[in-house]
Amino acid sequence: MAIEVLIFYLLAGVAIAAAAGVVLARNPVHSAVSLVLSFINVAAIYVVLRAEFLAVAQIIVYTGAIIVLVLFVLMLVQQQDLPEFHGGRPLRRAVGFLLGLALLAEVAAAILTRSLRGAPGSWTPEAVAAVGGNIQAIGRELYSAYMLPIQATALLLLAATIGALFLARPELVEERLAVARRLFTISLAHPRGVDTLQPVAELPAPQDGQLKPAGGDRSLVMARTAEEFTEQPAWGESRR
Amino acid sequence: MSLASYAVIGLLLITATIMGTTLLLVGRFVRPSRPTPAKLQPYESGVPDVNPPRARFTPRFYLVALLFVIFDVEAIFLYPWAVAFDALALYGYVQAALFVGLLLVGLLYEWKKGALEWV
Amino acid sequence: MSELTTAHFLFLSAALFIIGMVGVLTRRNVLIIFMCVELMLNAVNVTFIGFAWEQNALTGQIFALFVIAVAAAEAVIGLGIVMALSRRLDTVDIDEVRQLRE
Repeated sequence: MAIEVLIFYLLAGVAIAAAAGVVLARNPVHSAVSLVLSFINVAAIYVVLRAEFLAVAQIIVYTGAIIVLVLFVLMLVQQQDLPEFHGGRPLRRAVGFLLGLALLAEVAAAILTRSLRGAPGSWTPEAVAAVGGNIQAIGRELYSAYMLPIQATALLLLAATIGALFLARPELVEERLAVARRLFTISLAHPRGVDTLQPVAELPAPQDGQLKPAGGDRSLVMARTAEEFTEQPAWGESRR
Repeated sequence: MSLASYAVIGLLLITATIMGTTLLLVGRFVRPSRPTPAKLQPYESGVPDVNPPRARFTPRFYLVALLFVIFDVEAIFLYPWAVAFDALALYGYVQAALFVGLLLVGLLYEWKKGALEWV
Repeated sequence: MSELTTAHFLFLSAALFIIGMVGVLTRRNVLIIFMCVELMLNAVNVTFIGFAWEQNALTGQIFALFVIAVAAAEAVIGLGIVMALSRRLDTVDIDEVRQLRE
């Protein structure tokens, strides 16, 4: 049985070290990769604790879906804005570590002095093996005694779907223009729509702020200032 | 001890880790490394990037990833039901049908909202 | 200590939870805080599965399954909020986001 304890220490050590890496890494991508390492080690500990299905679910949902989503968002948000952990705010850091140590001491005292007693369940390893393994046992237990939690989970996932659609909807034209105003530089000397170089005097008189060059059907945007230019329906937008 | 049946996976993981680290370390110490400022530029003969590399891919993919997580969890919940289908009979079937039905409402909502279309 | 006992995984769970908590308290990047919250949920799962292992019951494992489902829903909504935040305010610094406070 000693080998089991040895494996546990190895896995737990790597899991804790990787978890510390999540907090300490400067680069958020390194944090995410550390988190993957921690999750995989915890999944291996689940296997040691005879929860094979949970180990697989952990790898599929956490490392397969959630971390991918986190990395997606990391790529989409602006990288140079990411604030540094190192440098500044020593008070908050000290308070955080002190609170962590205090909680660790408290939990250690609770674990070492108290013991939890209860009637052992009926799913001994032999009983689980008799029905055909961990997944069989979970399926039988889950779909016979947990009707309400399952449906509540379905409702939660439904709410999450609707919330995701609401939050990730294509933004309004005004929002996108605001972002464009921040991100793009506008050259007033070369307004869009002018295909050929021609003197300004030869341009026809503007009709309600817009005019069309002879060469195409793109509208020429007339603007006096940068503000007015960005108010124009540009960048493929049509004002609705 | 059922843990012995995972010995092969453990061996595979240990072998893969040792192989990977060894190869990277050997490469690290064997390869020549003489960096010059010109070599370290992202583009040797281009204009250095001034804009933030923000919009590298469209947020459309992001919406697909969000919905993928939801249906991933749904699949995880349906898997034990499918494995224990024989033992669960009609009661389990009704539960799973309700579960899928509720998530089907979400799918129809997405469809109606046009989230599944590639714009 | 030659046998695997409850105390082993309770300490592992406590360590993971506290590391996550310290991360939430000290980091300012919303995404790192989010990852630390996932770490804390994972630590709770370790406790559930450990007790299920000790007590020969499946209740802990099934509860851990529900925790995973809740974590996924939380990830979807939380990251959606982070995206909306970075789109509107152009930041993921938790200290910069104070519209509700002022």
